[in-house]
Amino acid sequence: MNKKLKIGIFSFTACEGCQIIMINSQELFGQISDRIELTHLPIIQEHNQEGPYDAVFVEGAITYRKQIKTLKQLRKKSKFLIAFGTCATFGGVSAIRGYDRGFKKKNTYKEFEFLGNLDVKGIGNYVKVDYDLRGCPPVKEEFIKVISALSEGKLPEVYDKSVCIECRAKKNTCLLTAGQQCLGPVTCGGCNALCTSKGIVCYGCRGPVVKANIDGLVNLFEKRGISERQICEMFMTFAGTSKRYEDFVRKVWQKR
Amino acid sequence: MAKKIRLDYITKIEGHADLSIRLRQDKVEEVNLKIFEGARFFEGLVANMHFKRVPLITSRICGVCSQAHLIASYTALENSRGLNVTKQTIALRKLLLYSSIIQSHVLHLFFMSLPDYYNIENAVELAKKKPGIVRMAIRIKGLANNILEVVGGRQIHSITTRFGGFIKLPTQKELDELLVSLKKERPVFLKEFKKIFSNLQYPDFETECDFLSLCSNEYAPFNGALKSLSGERFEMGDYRTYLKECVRTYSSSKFVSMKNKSFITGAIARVNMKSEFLSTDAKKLLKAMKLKLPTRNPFDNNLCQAVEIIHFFDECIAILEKLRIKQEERPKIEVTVPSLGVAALEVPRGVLFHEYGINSEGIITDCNIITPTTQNVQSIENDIKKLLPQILHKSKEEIQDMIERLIRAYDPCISCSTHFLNVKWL
Repeated sequence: MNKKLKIGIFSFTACEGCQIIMINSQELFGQISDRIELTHLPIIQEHNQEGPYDAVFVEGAITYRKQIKTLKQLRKKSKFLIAFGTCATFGGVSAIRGYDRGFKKKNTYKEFEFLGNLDVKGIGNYVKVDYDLRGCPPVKEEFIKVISALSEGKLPEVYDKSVCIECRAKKNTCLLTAGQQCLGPVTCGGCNALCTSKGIVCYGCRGPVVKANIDGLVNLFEKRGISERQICEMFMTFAGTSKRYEDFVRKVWQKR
Repeated sequence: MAKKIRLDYITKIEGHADLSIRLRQDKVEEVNLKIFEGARFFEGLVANMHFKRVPLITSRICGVCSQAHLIASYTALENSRGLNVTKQTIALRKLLLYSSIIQSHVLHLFFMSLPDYYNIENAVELAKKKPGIVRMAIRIKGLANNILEVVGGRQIHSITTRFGGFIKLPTQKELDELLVSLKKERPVFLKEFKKIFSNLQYPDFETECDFLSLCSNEYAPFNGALKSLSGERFEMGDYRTYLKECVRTYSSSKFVSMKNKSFITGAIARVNMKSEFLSTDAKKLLKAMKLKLPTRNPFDNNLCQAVEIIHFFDECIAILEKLRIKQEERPKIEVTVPSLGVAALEVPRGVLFHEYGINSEGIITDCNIITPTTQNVQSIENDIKKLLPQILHKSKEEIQDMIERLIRAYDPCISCSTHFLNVKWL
């Protein structure tokens, strides 16, 4: 039998829902427990190893200075580094704070200045990321897929198909055409169109695809009478720091 | 000579926390629970956003209690507009909330706390040595997750809830199937719980802290007045007068006190003050565990969580037995004048407060959230201070272990967790 993969799960600033999805996977205690060794999973174990690792899953965003150093050390200790969830990839909801100049003057923020707070960004801004396991929260199937690939010493190919493509493949009724404000066309799939298949619009928790046609969607929404500001809120909720959304969000949000 | 105890990185809790203790001539001078989870400023994140976007953001405060924050946001915002939701909406929200309490308690009890009591490293190891117990825990989690998926659309960060109701309702068939599986499996849990939780060994210890829960004729109500074991009573809208938040420069969590006194909220507070509203079988379990109420031993919080798992399963069964799903129109929320709304809910770790101010355009102008853990951190510090003199004669390892267990018994939720990288005795 092959040697077990040494996997570390690390968490920065997040709701830790990604880890919960992982712990909720029965597979963790069954079939995949034969292939992996969780050498760092402090949420449920006391003695954790400091590396080296075959792969680390990094959950959460970087929100204060000390975390950057820890993250860089992790990169050195691991063969693969996976951004686990939308906070790790784009900063997630925490990244909203980077867009509001007025916010930093508010009391809640000021009282905590001693922490060395940063504008929130995804971990890819500080270290090389080998795979983005997106989603708020990520889907279990993709987590298992990544683990399976890792056990063969590789990672799945980068996935860059929109939710829209997955949704159409399932022959769902199009919510956007029906007049709803769906982010499916610009959002990266991999969730197998989880929400839209239930008739619920995609709110973009996986962030944009590389070639997202932002202008096209903005134009459509505006024609429907949605204000620029509301459109901006849609883009900035989960992935406001992504390259595709950043310019638009910065332009609109700071106009207020 | 001054002596310091530092526990760097406390494991098996939800969040990043350190503990430092300063002793002088074996007297405890200072206990600091340092929560170093990055501050997240949710109150600031939702400021200036349209109120309809709020629950989507605040539910991300916590992956374990995302339903709690979601429902608290909706309830507070609905309260601000004087909007009453239908019985069906309340029933479905309760299913979401109660199953997330079950889910959270199981995670804490079986995956974080129980391995300690068997001197086993973690749940993966526990699964090898006591497969029956872990199999049951996974089964309980599975049942709770089924409820969350059917009602909420997915296990974490529900997608089906909206203002005034649900955008997507579960089908009657799905709910009936849930009911069948719950009724079939729940009795087994009671039997097993009696075996597991009647014989746990933990220290005899009494806290001096008070206890706080929502009062009204229901075990875990939405909204209402609050009561403490010592007799304080206040309406949820007056929470700012009674509960004071303060910032300490060693922690990214705030500390809350009630009239300058620390208090405990959560399963132990609810069982202490609301046991009469527990289900029949939950009461049976309470009796089998010989828990004398009110208990002032925070380690008993573990047992109270076990009682609540049974209770909330029974609540879910009772709701499902009555529920006949019908399509309903969601009431529209029109915002034309500024308003303010508060909600208080019993969630996994205690009472959760959400408060929002909305301006006449529907934009959030003010937000205040008090989570159960910020209410409990002061009590954790106080209890460590009180416990230490009782155990100082023990070895370093035993002291550390005991303090960690005490912290864990509170089930603090700090969102994310690391470990004991190194323990320093200075």
